Amino acid sequence: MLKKSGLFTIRKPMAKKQKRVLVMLSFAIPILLWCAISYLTFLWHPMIKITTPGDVGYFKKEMLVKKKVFYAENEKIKTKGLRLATGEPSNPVYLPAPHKVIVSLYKSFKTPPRRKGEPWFHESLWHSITIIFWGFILSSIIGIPLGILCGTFGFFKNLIEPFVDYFRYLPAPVFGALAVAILGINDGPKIAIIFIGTFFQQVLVIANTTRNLDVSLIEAGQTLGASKLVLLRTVIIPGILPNIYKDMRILLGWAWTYLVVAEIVGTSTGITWFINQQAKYRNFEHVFAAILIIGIIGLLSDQILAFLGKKMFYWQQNNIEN
Amino acid sequence: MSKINQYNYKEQSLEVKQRFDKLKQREVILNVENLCKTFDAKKGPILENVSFTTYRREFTSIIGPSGCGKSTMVRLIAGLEDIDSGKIIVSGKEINGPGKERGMVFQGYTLFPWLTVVENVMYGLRRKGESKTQARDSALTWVKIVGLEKYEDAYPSQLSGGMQQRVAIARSLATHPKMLLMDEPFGALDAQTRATMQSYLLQIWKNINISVMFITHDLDEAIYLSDRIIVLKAHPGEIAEIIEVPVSRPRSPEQFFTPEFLATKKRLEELIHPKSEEPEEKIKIVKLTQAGDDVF
Repeated sequence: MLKKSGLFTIRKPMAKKQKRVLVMLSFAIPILLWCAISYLTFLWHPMIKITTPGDVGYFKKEMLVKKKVFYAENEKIKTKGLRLATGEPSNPVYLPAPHKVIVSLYKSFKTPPRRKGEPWFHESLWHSITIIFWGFILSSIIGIPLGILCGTFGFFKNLIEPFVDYFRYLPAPVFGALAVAILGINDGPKIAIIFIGTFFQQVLVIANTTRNLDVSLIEAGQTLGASKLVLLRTVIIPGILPNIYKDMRILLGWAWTYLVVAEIVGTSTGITWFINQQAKYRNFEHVFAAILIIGIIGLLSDQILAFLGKKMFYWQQNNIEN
Repeated sequence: MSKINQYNYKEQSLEVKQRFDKLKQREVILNVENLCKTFDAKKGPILENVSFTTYRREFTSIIGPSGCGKSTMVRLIAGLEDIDSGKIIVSGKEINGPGKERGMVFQGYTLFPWLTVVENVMYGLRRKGESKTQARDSALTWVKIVGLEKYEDAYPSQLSGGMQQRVAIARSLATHPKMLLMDEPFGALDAQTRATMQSYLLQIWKNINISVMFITHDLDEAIYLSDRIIVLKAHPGEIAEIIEVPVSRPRSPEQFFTPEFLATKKRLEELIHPKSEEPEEKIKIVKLTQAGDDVF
């Protein structure tokens, strides 16, 4: 008897409808969870966030205290006839409610910087993007050709890969101080950190992708009269291009993870500066808004790249509809 | 059965005999002299002292048990592996690496997936220095010869396995090589497509001036296609016998059941699976349990 594919079949594509529902749930579940613990106060609000400290000596605005302590202190104050402290139930992780984050996402673009000369939110964001861009591009300009050479010729593999393999274990942030000493306190050391974090992985990943090209394609090219360099240009590079493109999408994600480290090297800048600044002022809504926007930029850019990849490599099996 | 047993595969009809006499007067295309090849010294040589010649427009097959080095042989001739000792001479020139006078069709699908059918066929022509329009024109002729003119702008992933191999054949032939080397080219195809491809290949071969060297492990295929069959034995790979196929041309599938065909097949079987002196290992038959009996 034919069985309709269930929800848990191993390595079988799911029905389109099921797939769409799951993709939506993938985002809906965390958002709903967030809403639940924000709006359903009985679920997880063991603390009181102080709005006005009243006459309780050690209470401060925005402070989180346990409910028990809050009511006990107010009880004491009441008997003395002084001003009461006020507050609202809150969770212990400074997680603001969704609507507050969304409002502050809008506000953070509109709020002018506190001090003159400091960047606006969008300027910080743009600065971060340029740092990533330059670090990643510089790494790719050297890393991709080197990776392809390592994957093609044993000469380069044996000469270059062992050292690269060693170097990639050195965490990029340890070069922060050195980078500042050499490149100054501006964007130079930041770009260098992204470069170091990306480059060594990139060489190895690209070399491996190159080695995975079916050797019989290369042999077919040889028997058709292609010389070494022609082979590189007409068989190896076009053959690995779609996989290199996929590698680059993954590597770009890694580059983002080095951003935060890069941005505290030298003078703090970009989105990291913004987040630290807002955390100092205890504007946690702004902090969450900034974190959220990093995710959105990452997801959107990856989706755009995936779409472009499908257009560029339309000759691949899974892209052509028969 | 008795008729087959009586028939000697060395008996040739007048027509076949005349064909072989003519064939051997043609120029020698391939000359293999004392060829040796070892990959792993522990396992011993894969080919040892192999010598033979093939002629212009001859269709030769190489057949043998697995591990006899038939694939290695064709890869050596193609120049894809280095020779340990001995010589391979193609049209009077000793080979040194791959060359465009030797085309090759592989077992796997080796069309360039980022090129269309016609662009794939153009590949070798472009390497010869032909201009794009020139290469395209002759490539289209070849695409027509293998009957895929409807698919000239399709990508390999849109074609069936048989179609892909037809394009691969066109691609190798487009540069006018002297020899076409084929390493189990139909091995991955289903039986029906395979039979069609065999007739296709014979038709193409009949119409152009080319020597074919065909690797296969299918006895019927070897007999059906070849003038001569080089039988290799394993460990080490040496020539067991070179058989002149006594089947008349043009070939057709009905000939599969002629006495000369069957006698040749019988001889090949003897050569490839010689009756060993050691008794064959018996497969133990395990009796099914009671529970298993319910199934039947």
